[in-house]
Order: sequence, then C-alpha cells, then structure tokens
Amino acid sequence: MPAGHGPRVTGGWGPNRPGGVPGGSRRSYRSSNVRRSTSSRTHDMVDGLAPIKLIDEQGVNRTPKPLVAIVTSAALRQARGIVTEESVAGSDAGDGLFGEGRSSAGFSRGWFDSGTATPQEADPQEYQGRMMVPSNAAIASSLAADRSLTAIGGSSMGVSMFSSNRQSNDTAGSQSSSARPTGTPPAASAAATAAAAVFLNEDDLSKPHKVLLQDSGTVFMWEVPGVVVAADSAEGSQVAAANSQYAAQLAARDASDKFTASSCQTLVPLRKHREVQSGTSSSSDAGCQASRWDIDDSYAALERSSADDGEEQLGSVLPSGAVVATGVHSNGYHSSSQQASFMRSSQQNWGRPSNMSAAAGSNRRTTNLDSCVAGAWGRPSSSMRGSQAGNRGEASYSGSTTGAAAAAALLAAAGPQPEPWTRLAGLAEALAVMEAAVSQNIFLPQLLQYRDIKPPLPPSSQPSAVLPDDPLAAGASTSSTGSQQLAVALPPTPGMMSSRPSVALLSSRGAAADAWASSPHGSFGGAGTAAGSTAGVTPSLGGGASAAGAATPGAASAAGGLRPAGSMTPGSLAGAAGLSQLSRRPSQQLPAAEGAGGSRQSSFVSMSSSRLMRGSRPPAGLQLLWTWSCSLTEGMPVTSIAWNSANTNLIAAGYRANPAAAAAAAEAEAAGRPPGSAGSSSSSAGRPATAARSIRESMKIGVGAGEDAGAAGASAAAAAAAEVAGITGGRVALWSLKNQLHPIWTFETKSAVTALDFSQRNPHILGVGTHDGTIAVYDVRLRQPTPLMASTADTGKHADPVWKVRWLDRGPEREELLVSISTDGKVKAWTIAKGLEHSTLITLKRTSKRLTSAGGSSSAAAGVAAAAAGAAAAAVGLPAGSGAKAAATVAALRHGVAGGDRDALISRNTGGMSFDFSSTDSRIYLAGTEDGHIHKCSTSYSEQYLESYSGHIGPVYALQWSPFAPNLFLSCSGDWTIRMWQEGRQQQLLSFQSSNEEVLDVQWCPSNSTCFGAVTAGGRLELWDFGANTLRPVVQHASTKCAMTALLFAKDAPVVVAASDAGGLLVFRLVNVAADRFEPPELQQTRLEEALRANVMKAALSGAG
Amino acid sequence: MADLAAVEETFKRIQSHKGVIGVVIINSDGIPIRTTFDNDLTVQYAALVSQFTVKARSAVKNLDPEDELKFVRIRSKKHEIMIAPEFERQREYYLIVVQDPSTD
Repeated sequence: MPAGHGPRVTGGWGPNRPGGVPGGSRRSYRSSNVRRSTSSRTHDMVDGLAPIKLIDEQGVNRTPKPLVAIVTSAALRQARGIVTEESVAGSDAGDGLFGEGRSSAGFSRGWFDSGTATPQEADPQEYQGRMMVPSNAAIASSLAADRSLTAIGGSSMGVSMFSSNRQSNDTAGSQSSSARPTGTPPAASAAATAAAAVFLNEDDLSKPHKVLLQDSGTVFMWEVPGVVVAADSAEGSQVAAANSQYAAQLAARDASDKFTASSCQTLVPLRKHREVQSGTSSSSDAGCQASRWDIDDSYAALERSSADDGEEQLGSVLPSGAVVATGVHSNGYHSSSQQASFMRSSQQNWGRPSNMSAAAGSNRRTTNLDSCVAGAWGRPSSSMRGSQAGNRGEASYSGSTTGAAAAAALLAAAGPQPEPWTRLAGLAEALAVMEAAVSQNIFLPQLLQYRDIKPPLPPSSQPSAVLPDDPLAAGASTSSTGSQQLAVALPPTPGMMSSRPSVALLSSRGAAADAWASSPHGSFGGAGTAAGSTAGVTPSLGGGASAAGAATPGAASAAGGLRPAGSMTPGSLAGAAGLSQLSRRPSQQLPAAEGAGGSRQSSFVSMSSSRLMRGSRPPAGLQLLWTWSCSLTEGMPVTSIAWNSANTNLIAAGYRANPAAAAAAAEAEAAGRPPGSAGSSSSSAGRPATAARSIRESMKIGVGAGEDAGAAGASAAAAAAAEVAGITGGRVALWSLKNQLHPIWTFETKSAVTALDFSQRNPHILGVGTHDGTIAVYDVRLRQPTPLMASTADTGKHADPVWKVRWLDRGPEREELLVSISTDGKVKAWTIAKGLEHSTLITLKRTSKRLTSAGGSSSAAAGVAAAAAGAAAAAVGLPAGSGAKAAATVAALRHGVAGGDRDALISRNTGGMSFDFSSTDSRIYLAGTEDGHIHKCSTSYSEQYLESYSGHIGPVYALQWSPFAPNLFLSCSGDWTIRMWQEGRQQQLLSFQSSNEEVLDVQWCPSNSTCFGAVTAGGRLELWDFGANTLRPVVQHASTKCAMTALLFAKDAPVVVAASDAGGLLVFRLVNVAADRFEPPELQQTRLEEALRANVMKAALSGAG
Repeated sequence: MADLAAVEETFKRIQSHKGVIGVVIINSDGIPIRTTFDNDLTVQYAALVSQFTVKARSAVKNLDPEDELKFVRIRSKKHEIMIAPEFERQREYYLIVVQDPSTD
C-alpha cells in the first residue's frame, strides 16, 4: 500500500481500516505490541517483552499510547466489586490474552473532577495526552448526553471512575501535564492507581462532583486514501503486488499467533447544520417600447376620447382598459402587449382618467408604472389625483367596480390633457436650443458670410435674386448669369419693363471699373458687364443708340468667348434687349429739373470721377442670405425694425395685421350689414383725424400701387377702411442670428405696431409705438406679452399712429428719454422711471412759409390724395354724409397745402412722420412732417423751429443725420425722392431719384461715408453711392412685389436688413460696398466732402445750365 | 412654464426643418416617449445615445464637478446628431435631433 502520512511503523501492526476518509472518523489503533509497551511501563510486564518505541524522522517519540489504561487483572478484580454493575464487558475479544482484561476492565468509567488532563496543543511533545483524552472526552460527552449510566457496548474505550479523591486527581492532572515530556500516560496510570486504591463510600454520593467536559482535536495517525490505477500500467503491477501481499497477510493472520484482532471505535463526526434565514429578494422588471402603431393607436384613441363626451367614457372605456391591464398581467414579460398597455394606459391617464383607474384596479404593476409616469411628467395636481384614484380603484376592485367608477367620476372633471411629454420641464428651452442648432447647421454658410468670415460667393454661383415667377428674369438669369447680380432690377410687372432693366445696366456701367476682366469675379464678363464696360469706356456722347450699337457685338463676343455656343444665343439676345432699352431710357424718364443732355454728361463725369477715386474697385452687390420669417408672421407687413443695442445678434420687428385679411374681414362685415350701418360704425370710431388718416393711408398706398390703381386701389382702400374700423392687430417678434427659422420670442399687440426701439441704457427694454397712438414699454426678459407700462388716453397717448420711437440717452446723469412722433403733430418725450410720464417736446404747426416752386407739384400730390380718398370712400360705400365729410377734409387739405398763407380749416397741426436726433447735440433734432417739411427743432424750445427745410412734396418718411458729417442729413419722401441736406442751407444739396416709387426708408451706410441705402414701396432695395453716381443706385435689388418698409444696416457686419410687406426680414450681404477696412474715419470724411463738393458743383452747374 | 402647445409646435417645427431626419425624446429609463423614427432606429438611438451622453457627462463632471453637460453635437460624415440632455432628477430626458446638414 502506498504510504500515508504518519509514523513509520517498524512493528507488525496494520490499520484496521485501510483507506479511511481523512477527517471523517476518529480512529484508534491498537496492537498487542503497543498495549504491551504501555502496560510494561506502568505496571508489571505482562509478557516480559521489551517495549517498542517508534521514532520518526525528527526524532520524536511516536510510540502509540493505549487508548485505554489497562489495569492488571488483580486490580480490576478489586475494583470490580464496586463498579461491576456498570461495567459491561465487550465480548468480541477473541484473544485469550486480552479476553479477561478486556471483558472485565476494558470499560471503566472515569469521573474526572477537572479536565486537567485534556491536551490542547498538537505539539508532538504532548502527543500522549492527546492520545488519551479524546476517548475520555467522547465518553464523557456521551454520558452527558444521555445521562444514563449504562455502559457503552461494543466500544473499546476504557472508562475510569474516580472517587472523590481530589488530591489524587489533582496530582494526577498536574502530573499528566507536567509529565508529558516523559512520554508516560500519567492520567491512565493515575486513574488506574486511583481505581485500585480508593474505594468510594456513601459520603461520596452526597459530595458535589464537578465534571468538566472538553472537546479535543482530531488526531490522524494513518491515512491511506484509496488509489485506483490502471492495471496495465507500471504502477498497476506494484499495486497488484501490494494487494496480493496484503491478502496473503490476511490469510496468514488466522493461522498465526502474531496477530490479534481487536475492534476499535470509529466516530463519525456530527455534521453541523447551520440555518440561515433570509427574505427572498424579489425583483421585477418593467420595460416599454413604443412602436409607431402604438403611438398612432394611442393618439387616435386620445383624439377620439377628447372628441367624445366625458360622460360616455365612463361606461364604454372602462372594460377596455381592464382588458389591456389584465393582458399584461397574464402575459408577464411579453413586451409588445406590455408596451401597448403602458402606452395606452399612460396616454389614457391624461386623456381619460377612468381608464387608468380601471387598469389600476386589475393590475398593480400597471398602476405603479402609470403613477410613476404621471409623476415624471411633473403634473402637479392631476398625478396626485390619478394615483389616489388608482389606489381607490384597486382597493375596491375585488369587491365591485364601483370604487373604480367613483374614482373615474372623480377624475372625469379633468379635461383632455396635452401630450405628457410636452410637460417635461425644461423641454421648451431644450427644443429652442435644438432648433437654434438645427438652424445654424442649415445656415452655416450664410452665417459665415454674415460675419464676414467667408467671402461672398462669386456672382455666378449666387442664388438667383430675381423673382422666380418672372419668366423674363428667369430667362435672363439662365442666359447670362454673369450679369445676374446687375440685372436684379428686372421689373416685377411687365409694364415697367421698359425702364428698369436699363437702370440696372446703367448702374452697372456706372459702377463698373475698367478692369473687370482682371478682377477675381471673372464670371462677370457676361453680356451685361461687357456692355457696361464698353459703354463706360466710350467717352463720346454720341447717344445711347450708338453706344448700344457698339456694345452689342461686344456683348455677343464676350458671351461667346465665355460660354459654349449652345447657350450663347439667349444670352446675347437678352443683352441686346437690355441695351436697346438702355438706348431708349434717357429720353424717357429723366427728372424734370435737369436737362437730358446735361444729366447724361454729368453722369458720365461722375462715373469717371468715381473710377478715379475708387480705382479698380470691384462692383458692388447684394446677396440675399436669408429671410427672417415664420408662419406666425407670414403675410404680416413689417412696419419697423430695430437692432438691440447690446446684443447685435438680436433684432426686433414690428408687424401689423395682414391688410388683405383685414380687408376681407371688413368686406365680409360690410356685406353682412347695410351700408349705412357700416359707415356709421366706421365714422363712430370717434377719432377726430380718422378721415385724414385714411386719406393719408390711401394716398400712400395709392401712390405705391403706381400705374394700376384700379383693383389694387380698391383693395387698398378697403384695407384702409379696415384700419379705420380698428380691426387690426399687431405683433412684435424678436429675431436672432441664432435661429433664422423662428423668432426667439414673439407676442401680439392689440393694435398694429408702427414703431419700436430698444433702449440704449437698458437693452432689455423695448419701446413700442402702435397704430392707435399708444406708447408701450416691454421688458423682453420677462417674456410677457403684456407691456410693463403703456400710455392711455389719460396719460397722454398720441391721438394718431406713432410713426417713430427712439430712445435718447443723454448721458449718465440724465434719464433716458423715449421720444415719439405721431401724425397728431406732437413730438413727445417719455420717461419710465416713475411710471410712463410724458412731456410734449413740440407741436408741429403747419408752416406758413412754402416754397412756391413746389406748389404746383404739391397740389398735384394733394389731388392724388383726394382721388385716393374718393376711391376709398366709394369702395367702402360710405354714406353720403361721411363722403361729404371726407371730401371736405380733402378740400381743406388741398386748401391748406396749396393756399399756403392761410391756416387749414380743420387742423393747424401737421402730422409728424419721422425725427432724428443729432449725434453731436442731443437737444437738436429734425422732424419730418406729412406735408413735406423738415424742421430742425430743439428740446429747449417747444414753440418754434430753429430751421425749416423745404423741398419735399410728399410726406417725409425717414430722416437721418450722417454718421460721418455732423451737419449733413438725408431724408426720403413719398415724392419718390431722397434728398440730402446740410444744416444752415434751406435747400437740398442733392436729390436722388431712381424710380416712380415712394421711398419709405433711408439710412446711411455705417461703413462707407458716401453710401446710403433706401427701400421703396415698389419693393426695391437700393444702395446709393453718391461718390460714384448720383443718378442711379450702385446696386438695386427687387426682391418681392411687396413694398419694402424699412431697412437697417448692421453695425458690426457687412449686412443690411430690409423689412418687407410680405412679412419677412430680408438679410442681405453687402458685396464690395463698405469702404476699405483700413480707411480711417478722417479719410472717409474727406472722401465724403470731396464727393459732396463735386456733386454739388455739378448740380449747381446743371441747375444754372 | 412655457406654453405646452408651443412645445408641441416647436417639436413639429424642428421636425420640418431642412435636413432634419428625426427627433427622439427619451426619458430617464431609456424609453422613447416621442419619436419620429421607426421602431428599430429609435431603439438604437435611445440605447447608444444615452450611453454616449452619460459618458460625455461624466467627462464634464470629472473636469469640474459643478459643471454640467448641456449640449452635445456629433458631426459625422453623413449626419449631425445633436443631443440636449437634462440630468436633473425627476425630469431627466434626452432630446435627440438627427440632421443631415449637407442637404441643400
């Protein structure tokens, strides 16, 4: 057998149980040799043999000690008289030698007073003690266990019973501990001695006895695990040999005296069972997936439910909700039905509370989900009620459904709720940010151009700026894209075709430098450019026809050189058409004040001078970047725009209601009522200047409509009548560069917005003037559609529309003023520090002085106004009385305008249209009036004008001081002209006119001292550079057929914003308009002065000539 | 509290903007509560984007614990994925917009 771990045995003793399980049992081995050795030590030698010692490799005595102290037969017999009944002899001893001893003394019970003999350590030196005690302890424990003194049969353990001789016990104990190194089994010997010597008496029974039971460690003496090897291996033969040897040994045992059989007890250790208690951890999963059809179904159900009456749902919906919920319950983890129920129940939670409570009644899980969802949406009160109802429904569901029904009834009052996801807090802001990001992605190239980070696209790749619905323009743009930018002024209506293309070509000729072909915009070498440069270089004044004739082949050749032959023909044709119009143009529409020849000459002079001044400057242009427009403002005419003073990315736009819609409403109203009542309602609006304003409006629109004043005039008159009836509304929208697709904030106003401006000092304060004369102040940070303060009739509201408001910052120690001007003739200054308080700066009086030269024209204009008023009155069907009143007003107006010296019958005041404060002296301002005068006023004098400038024969719609020359200002008027004035000179310096369209706004270009922009009622945006040309704008842009009402240059970007009547803010990139970036302001100023001097001299010459 | 109808309207407007392929709103459990994609794509976006966003947020938070992630833009060759997350408790969600910026 393979060797286990244990002492090397030299004697002939073997294991009783080979292959024991390690630790599985306590084994004791005993052989006759061992027994003999121990007995020989303690008592007389039984057999007279020398004791055998077992020494292991370390030299430690491993001699096995007997488990049982063997007493001599005599002693046993002596002791037997005492303990005889309780000693049971093991009867299995087959050995003659041991038979007597074992049967009689093999089991003697020992009573230990104290456990002094119990070894604790596994030290080899204390091996003997350990050998001894386990048996005792085991017996003692078994005794303690069953309390019966019956002997333990079949075991080979010895039980020594000690009497109350404590002395001996103690000494035995101490001896056992102290005598261990000697290798003697002292306890056994002591026990044997005591058992032999001491006799128990009756007293011992009454004495207390202490028994200490202690457990001890397990001793392994021999351990042979079973081995299985393959029979054909090398080991197999060895094992087989060992096995056969063992078998032979076993066989020899029976016949030999050398072997004796004895039994030993093997204890199977108790298995300990430790109980652990724990609650079962339960887990639940909840997932939801919403597929499209689920959402669709839920929405459909929601809509159905909101359409239904609430009472019907109670009965009809309840079962379906329950069915859905139970479906989930039985399905467990089936995702689709679960998600369906989740979606449905959560949806219905909002729309139809009864459903939710029904679901809650049947399935708690769904309830929890629902209430969770409800909580997540942050629904303040309804979620509480929903969960309450759910609980109630759940509680009462087992009994009856009345609880659920009651809960449903509780919630039935709650109307249909919006989608739960829209209630996510902060989602609105996140969506706004997201839209801005989307918008910036879309408009990234345009924004880069806006910021002047990227140069504007070459003209050939520019998006078509012409009207897409104009076939002629489309043809031109496809045939000669090179001249597209210059041909943008193609007419919106075919009736004006004869004049406007030529304007474009003339302007191109004017702005065209000599060396265009060498400029980076090589694609400009199209037909128009070629024609322009040819015409410009030709110095002779042989007439437009010859110039055209000379230019036509050039255009054709240029086009042919640049384009493939196939596409050449339409281009050259278009060029020829344009040139033929060019030849016709000068004789047609030159301003009456200047001679035809002289003007032509002067224009060429100015062109040559501009070439000299600006060198080889590439042509100016405009490029549409984007349009700020959205569905809210679609079709609403923009009336005013203003940049924010602090955030240059922010622009505010004021709108008025769509006149077409208003007119339609008015017509509908008029159709519904008898004419008399309609008329009375309009006249009963009660405002004194109503008729006059309607005339002004109709005149403005009538003139703007231009040639065909028939149907348009009627509709305009209807619109004007609608305005009179007061059914217009307005809107303010704040547009940002961050989002081109939607305003960052917008709100409605009761009346049409006519003017607005951001405060300089408090940039979040927005002052708004409306059509009904109200001045309102908004704080745009609050995002509240109601004004912080607004003027009423009690607090000095204007009686008529406010046409301009402007904040005036007069330095840190003085309060900021909001100045407004209105057609009621008053210029008012408002302060907001202590409520909205006002003071009237001036009341504009009708001036008695009138330049006679303008008289004829002005009477003609008044005639136009009268005609328009008549048309308006006829269109809305005013009754005879109102018509007569209007006619009288017209007559009075005409009288006042034409008569000059006398005061008007109705009003001594004149309507103010615009004003502008001087940049050098904040007391000085200009006021432009309805009758064409411009007055220089001071806030110090409220009764008189400092100066008056006459010349305009239409209302002065806009005024602006030059940012470069402090004494220079521009005005634009409904008489189709833009005029430049100088302080101290009552007549204009220069006059600019490009078409027969009202000029509604004018503004100086902030980056070029000689440049300004204007917009017209015909929808054109013009850029003038009087350093280059005083007759034609350098760039024009005809964007829409709708009027352009306002324009604004950006302060920090080469951009101009134009407001359209169609409801959009058009953002244009200025191409080559700004002066050189390195040009100092002084140089700009000198350039302005030079240009001015040259042009004024020319004008004087031509005027004299 | 912004107008709820305006929220819905803004959502629809974003959806209709040029190049916008889809909009998804995921709640804190990763469940899409509003989507314009089909089911599979929604689930994919919900899973991947929320993972990514949480990672991005941890980066931000590790750099400065008081900081907070507000917006993520992922520009890929084909798309731009924009994520506006909200991490505050009780109202956690992710708003995802996928746009193709190259469409003209």
